[in-house]
This record gives sequence, structure tokens and C-alpha cells, in this order.
Amino acid sequence: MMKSRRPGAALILACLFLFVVDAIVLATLYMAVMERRLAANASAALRLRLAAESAAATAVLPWTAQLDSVAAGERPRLDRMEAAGDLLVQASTEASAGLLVVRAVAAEPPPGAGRAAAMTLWLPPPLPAGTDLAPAAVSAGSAHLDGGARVEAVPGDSCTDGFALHLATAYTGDGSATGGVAPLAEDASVARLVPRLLAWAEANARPGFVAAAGDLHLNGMADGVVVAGGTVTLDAGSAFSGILIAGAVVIHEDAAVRGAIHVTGHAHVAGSVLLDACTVRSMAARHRLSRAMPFPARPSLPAFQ
Amino acid sequence: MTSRRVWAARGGTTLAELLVAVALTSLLGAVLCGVLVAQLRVASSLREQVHSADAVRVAAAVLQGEARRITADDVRAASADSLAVRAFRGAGLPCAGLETTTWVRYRGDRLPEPAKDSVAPVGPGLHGRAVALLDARPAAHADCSPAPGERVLQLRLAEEPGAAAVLLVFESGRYYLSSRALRYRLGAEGRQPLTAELLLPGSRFAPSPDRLGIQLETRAGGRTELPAWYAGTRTEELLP
Repeated sequence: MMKSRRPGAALILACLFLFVVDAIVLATLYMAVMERRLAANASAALRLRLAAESAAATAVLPWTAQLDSVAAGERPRLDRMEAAGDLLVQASTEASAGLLVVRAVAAEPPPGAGRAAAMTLWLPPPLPAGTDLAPAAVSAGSAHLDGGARVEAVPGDSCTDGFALHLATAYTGDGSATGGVAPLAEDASVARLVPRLLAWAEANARPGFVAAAGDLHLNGMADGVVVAGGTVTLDAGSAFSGILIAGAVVIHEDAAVRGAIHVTGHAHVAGSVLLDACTVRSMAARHRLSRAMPFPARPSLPAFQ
Repeated sequence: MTSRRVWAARGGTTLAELLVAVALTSLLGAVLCGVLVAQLRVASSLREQVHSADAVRVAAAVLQGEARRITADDVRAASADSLAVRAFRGAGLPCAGLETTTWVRYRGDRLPEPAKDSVAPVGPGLHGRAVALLDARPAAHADCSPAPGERVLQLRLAEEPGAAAVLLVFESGRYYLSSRALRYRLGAEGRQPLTAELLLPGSRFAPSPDRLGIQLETRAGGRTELPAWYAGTRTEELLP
């Protein structure tokens, strides 16, 4: 039988060719896997960041009585734990210089080690949670109703759910108060919050929100929220619709107010005041009196891990 | 028949066989060399693409990370090839203070350095103000209890920070696109490259299509939009 002794290169060449092809396939596969890993990492980082930013943007909404205690000058931490999908999110809140600093951290569950943080700065609402802005047409320390004065809270009206007068002492004068008179406890007076409202207005100027540390004169037609540390005077023939909070108030004859008045001191009424809880609620919502606001100058802060 | 007789019967064909073998081997070698060279070119091109993509990724990550920390007021200037910003490096919550000395619970990329950093107090009535940082050192204070990840620092400032809710520590930096790389310059120092010199020519900072933000255009069709709030309505003013 004949036996071939010819040396051949086919096997070597075939091996070389296969090696090159394999190398190309493996390199392509490696690149695809790396691209996929990079995309997955970018996606996970984005999810973490969005979860942290979302928690930082909602941690103080809605405003609660617990958050009011944070704004009292101390620095308690309010921690909230929540889950966003499979991520763990923790938000903490603390007061600083009259503002609220919210820090939220989102983390991957173990064994993942991804983390993202976000910080926001909030202006607390000027009114504590649960403040009733329409308990009566006029809430005051004392009141005098001139002969032609009318202060009304007409029962049965869906927008009237309160008294005509809320007073610390009995009112004087011959004017009419329709809707009853109720005693006002000093610590329940909305007007005691005038300094807080003035500070809030300074950092958060809004059209329709008039704030003055001293006295104020109103004439003509106006609506909105008026806050004054001194006396607010409504001249004859003027009409105001909304919320009036001041140290004292003088309403001249033929002047009309629709909404609610809160004063710490004396209310002298010669015109008319009609309690309108719907207008009061509408103005409070429009000016976000019970809602925390992102601090206008820098709503979000750089967050560091 | 023996093998000797077979070889004898095929006498005179060895040279021709050799020539054919040499020719075939040369042909095969040429083809293989061609394939090898082509593969090397493909590999080189792929490597450059990967590195270029890495450079774009790094540039986008750096700029987006920086942009997320700042607001419109922190952008000092912008042009097609540079962006000057307040680059925030840390934030401290004041927990005690005495005139120009303030203790803060600090968290940041690094500790404050008076030689390169300033402080921006944030709070009611303190819009955009910056205060020089004179000294920063770790120092405990009875009123300051740091949370995990925080350090208590004593900062001495050039003036009282006012009613600050937060003290932001920043350096004045400028990002450049030059010589096909993204570079960063701190104050008067040299431009340090942040990426390899592999960004395609023509990369530039440009207004985003909605004119509300600035984007980094790295090549035709490749755009990295930075968060819009960092330029906001100042885009027209910054990049007309």
C-alpha cells in the first residue's frame, strides 16, 4: 500500500484562518457586551438620579403639621423611606435660616452599589397646616360697628361656613352682625402670623399679594391678599375681594369687603363685610398660602454623595 | 512495485512542481497579507471609534454633571468653544456661627481650599452674592452633629455670610473645546485635558433647538444636550 509523505500547509492555514475569524467574532462580541453594559449602567444611573430628584421634589408636599415643627428653628430630621420600583429612596428634611433643605438619596438594592443624591431648597408656607382662613367675616381682638355697618355670614350659603364676628371681646356700636358672634382665642388668630407672612412675601413677591410692614390705604377695586403690620384703611367707595390680614382695620362707609378679615387689634367697620369662604379658599390656593414653594433664587442645590 | 521505482517513473517533474508550489504559496501569502492588512485597518478604525466614543461620553458626563449643579446665574460666559462657570465642589449647612466664622456640616467632592475656592451663601435676600474664603479646617462644635457622610468644618470668611440656609463652595472654572479635546482651566492655571484628543473637528457649544439651553455638538448629528435650566432664558445673551 502506498503511503503519502508530502508535507502539507492546509491544516496550518486553516487553523490560522479560523484563529483570525474567531478573534474577529470574539472582539465583536466583546464590544457588543461592553456597549450593553455601558448602556445598562447609564440607564441605572439615570433611574437613580430621577428617583432621587423626584423624592427631593415631593418630600415636603403636601405640607403637614409635622413639617411645621421643623420650621420652628430647631433642626429635627424628618426621614421618609419609600420604594421606587426596586430602588430604595430616603428623603430627609431640616430647617435652615427659615428655609427647608431636603436631601434625597436613591440606592440600588444589594448587591448593587449605585447611589444618587438630590437636594432641594424650599420656602415653607406662610400659614401652618390646617389653618382656617374663613372662620368668620371679621376676626379681631375687638370691634366697633357703626350705625350703617353690616357684617354678614349668611347661613345656608355653600360659601359661608362661619360666623359674622370672631372676637376676643364683645363688639360695640349699632351696626348689624348677621351670622352670630363667637369668641376668639388669642392663639387661634391668623393675624398673629403677620411677621411670618411678611417674611414670606419678601422672598416670594407675587402679583395680587400686597404686603407692608406699616399702614396701608386701599381705594378703588382690588382683589387678592393684603398683609400689613399696621392699620389697613379702606376708603369710602372702595371694594376689596379676598383675604385681609393686619394689625388693625378701618372700613369707611360705602366700602365693601368680600372674603375674610383677620386683625390682631381693633376692627372699626362703617361699611360692609361679607364672609365668602369660596373667595378665601380661591385666594389661598392662588397664592399658595398653605403650600411649600421651591426657593425662587435656587430651587435645587448641588448634591454631593 | 517498490517506492524507488515510483519515484524513478516520475523523474523530471520536480522543478515544475516546485515553481507551481512557490507561485501558489506566494498567491496565498499575498491574499493572507491583504486580509491581515485590511483587518488591521478595521481594528485601528474601530479602536479610534471606541476611543472617540469614550471621549464623547466623558465630555458629556463631565458637562452634564456640572450643569446639573448650577443655575443660569452661575454661568459667567459662554462661546462656541468655552464655558465659564461657578463649579461647585461642596455644600455646607451652617450649624453655628460667630461673626465671620461659621461652622458647617460639609459634604463635597473635596474639602474647601481657600487658595482656589469662594463661598456662595444661599438664603433669603442673598441672591448671587459671593464671599471670599479665608480659611477652612475641620473643627468640632457642640451645636453641630454631622450626619453620615458629613464633616464639621470651620470656615472663616471675608465677611459675614448673612442668614444663609446653605453655603455653597465653588471654584471659578472654564471648560474649553480645543485641539479636539475637552479641557478645564481653573483660574489662571493651564488648560488640563479631560478627554483624549479624539473629539471630531467642529465640536462646539451651541444653543439647543428650543433656545432654552446649551448643547455640546460633538460631530455632525451627534449632540449632547445639557440640562436646560443651567442657561435658561440667558441662552440668547450667552450664545447669540
